[in-house]
Amino acid sequence: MKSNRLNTLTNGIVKSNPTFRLVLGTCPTLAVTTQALNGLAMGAAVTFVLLCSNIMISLLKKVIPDRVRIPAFVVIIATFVTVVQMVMKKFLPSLYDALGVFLPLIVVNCIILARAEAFASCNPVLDSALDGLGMGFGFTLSLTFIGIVRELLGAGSFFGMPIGSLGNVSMTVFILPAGGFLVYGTLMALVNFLTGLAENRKYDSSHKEKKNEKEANV
Amino acid sequence: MRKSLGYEILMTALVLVVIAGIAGALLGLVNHFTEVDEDELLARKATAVYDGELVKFVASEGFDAPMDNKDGEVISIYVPKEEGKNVYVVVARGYGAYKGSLELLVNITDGKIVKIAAYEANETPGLGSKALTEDYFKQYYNKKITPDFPGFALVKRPAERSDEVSAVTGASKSSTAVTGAVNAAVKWYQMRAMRRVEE
Amino acid sequence: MSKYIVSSSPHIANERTVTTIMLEVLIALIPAVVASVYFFGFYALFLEVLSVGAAIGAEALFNLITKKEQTITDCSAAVTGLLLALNLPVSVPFYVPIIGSAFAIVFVKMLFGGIGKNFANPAIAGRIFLLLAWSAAMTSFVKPIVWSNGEAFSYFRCILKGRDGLVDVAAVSTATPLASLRFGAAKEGLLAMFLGNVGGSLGETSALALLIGGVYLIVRRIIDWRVPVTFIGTVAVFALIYGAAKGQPLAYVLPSVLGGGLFLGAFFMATDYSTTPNTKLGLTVFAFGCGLITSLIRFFGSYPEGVSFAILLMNIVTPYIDKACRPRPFGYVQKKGAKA
Repeated sequence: MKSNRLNTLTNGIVKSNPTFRLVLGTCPTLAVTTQALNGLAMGAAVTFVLLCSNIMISLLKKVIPDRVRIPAFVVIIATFVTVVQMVMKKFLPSLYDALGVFLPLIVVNCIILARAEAFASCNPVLDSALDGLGMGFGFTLSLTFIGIVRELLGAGSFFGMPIGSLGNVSMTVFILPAGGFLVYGTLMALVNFLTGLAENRKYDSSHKEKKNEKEANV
Repeated sequence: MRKSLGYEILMTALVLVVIAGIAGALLGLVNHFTEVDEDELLARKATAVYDGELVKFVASEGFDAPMDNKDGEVISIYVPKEEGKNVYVVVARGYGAYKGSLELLVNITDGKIVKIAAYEANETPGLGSKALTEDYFKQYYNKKITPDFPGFALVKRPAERSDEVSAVTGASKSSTAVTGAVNAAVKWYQMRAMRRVEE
Repeated sequence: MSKYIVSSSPHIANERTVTTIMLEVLIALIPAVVASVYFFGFYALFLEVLSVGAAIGAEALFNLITKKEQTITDCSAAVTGLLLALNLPVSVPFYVPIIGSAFAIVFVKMLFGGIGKNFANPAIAGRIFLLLAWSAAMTSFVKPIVWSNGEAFSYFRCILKGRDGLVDVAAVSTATPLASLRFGAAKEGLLAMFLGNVGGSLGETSALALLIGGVYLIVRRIIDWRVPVTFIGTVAVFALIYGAAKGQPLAYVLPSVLGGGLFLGAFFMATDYSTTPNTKLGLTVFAFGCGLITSLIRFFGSYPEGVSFAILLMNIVTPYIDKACRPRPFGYVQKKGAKA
């Protein structure tokens, strides 16, 4: 049971990473990752909303009538998004400006509704919270990573700190939408390649073990 | 036991109303703690272009009315708290920016633009943001705004006349929006402030 | 892969392979290379060598890492590298052709499966990537050199320039004929534009050198004459119409045709086999589209030059052109809907 819970948590980070494996929430992924910090902030906002909405929906799953569950989910999600928005506007105005319209658009981010519908509405509260946290972490990690790559290549800085005179030779294309697609696609290919490699190794080793067992039996 | 249709509809509506009610109450509570007074915030940010305390400009008829323009418009005006200074800090919005519009603070002192700062501008870092730097804003400074000044003209080459401004390479949209906002401020100054002087 | 035959059916086998075709293209580019050295000095040659080297190196490395059969001997990487270099201004720093060639080969060609499977012309896509990456460096042009002043090596001072730095060469910066055409009439003489003694990319300034190479390719039947003729013709016709609307019908025709990268694009880049339609009708439609988009961008867009964007866009619609222009097999009668 314990390892099951751990699986629920890590599922969103690697195996079904929302950005690289499920390819959900592509719109904010491409739009806000011009800087690493924006990606991190966006990820944090989504994680908060995902965690809260998953807990809420899991708590209310018996109460909400099946027919109107989508409107009910959207109301709950929208509430938390608005909370994030208000808090950010008050305390982090520069990040609020940088994320712009993509902050309120978290409401229609398909990761959140997908987790509510597919996981939270049919699982206990603790599992739903872990799932929300894991998915949120996966999203945050991916966005920050894309942001780091794009900022480094496109503006020659790391989290806003200029690195040497790299800014003098940086390639603007990477902070343009075209570069976003380019980096996203390349990283997705890389992640798929690496996970494929890991799975093959797992398969090979289990295969070898079986073979060894067989040989031992003979 | 089969519940009646009426009961089901009633329950559905009730649950939705309760959820919406709780959500509303929660948002109200959060809003209470995070409310930002826009006017106060603006007055505080406006000190970026004017060293001193500012108050919202509320003059007799029409002086504070925002003007419509297709390239930009004036949102509000601030003047120094201290009396007798010919200083206006104009909050102006320019259209055509990479992300729709951007807002600038323009300090017009004694008929000249002496300082510009970005207020709400969110252009691409390293690209559009080059049109929001002091280096670019300098082109608008210290040019006498006479009643027949036609406004700044954006050109894609080095500026030749004094009313010309050279657009930033690779940031022509942001440059356009900045020029739109500045021109709106200039137009407001010409129409309102000068009329007051005549009176 | 080595016996790669290009045409619609019926297919007749001959001795022509990718390697021989690419060598012919390289031969046809010699006049343009000579012209680039003549007008911009030895730094132009240095950039071309660097670009070709980077393209070949990137392909070799990619094949090595992905454990694929080595394909550099078909010379297509060399052609891509050289074409890309000819699309650069002479005042770019040394890393621009290296990164451009590597991008063109790895991202546009090899990741899609290598030669014949790329969706766009690698040199064109590489140039557009560089244009977006270093737009200031890629759109600042300098004057041709004067040999008698001993300027043969003078542009080597651009070798370590930063991304926006044109400071040290600002004194010799100049507009391209197309850019001056936008602000009224072209200042450059037509003869200078034909010979190439104007500002511009390495290989695009000399219409004469490109014409020699292009005619060689047409005579050797490497490329179809329809593409360059339709492409250049469309641009000329649109310049005529645009000029007529402005009251001087002929003022725009020759500068539009001779200026910018039109000859380079029409003869060498819009004729790439794998990214253009297979049929003659398809090629004509393709070239007309290129000419139309080029003219629209030049006269109404925010860039002074549109040849590479036009070719890239038409590369992308090539599969649809092929579908629309599918040839009718001999003896095949088109079915009529209501044949009683």
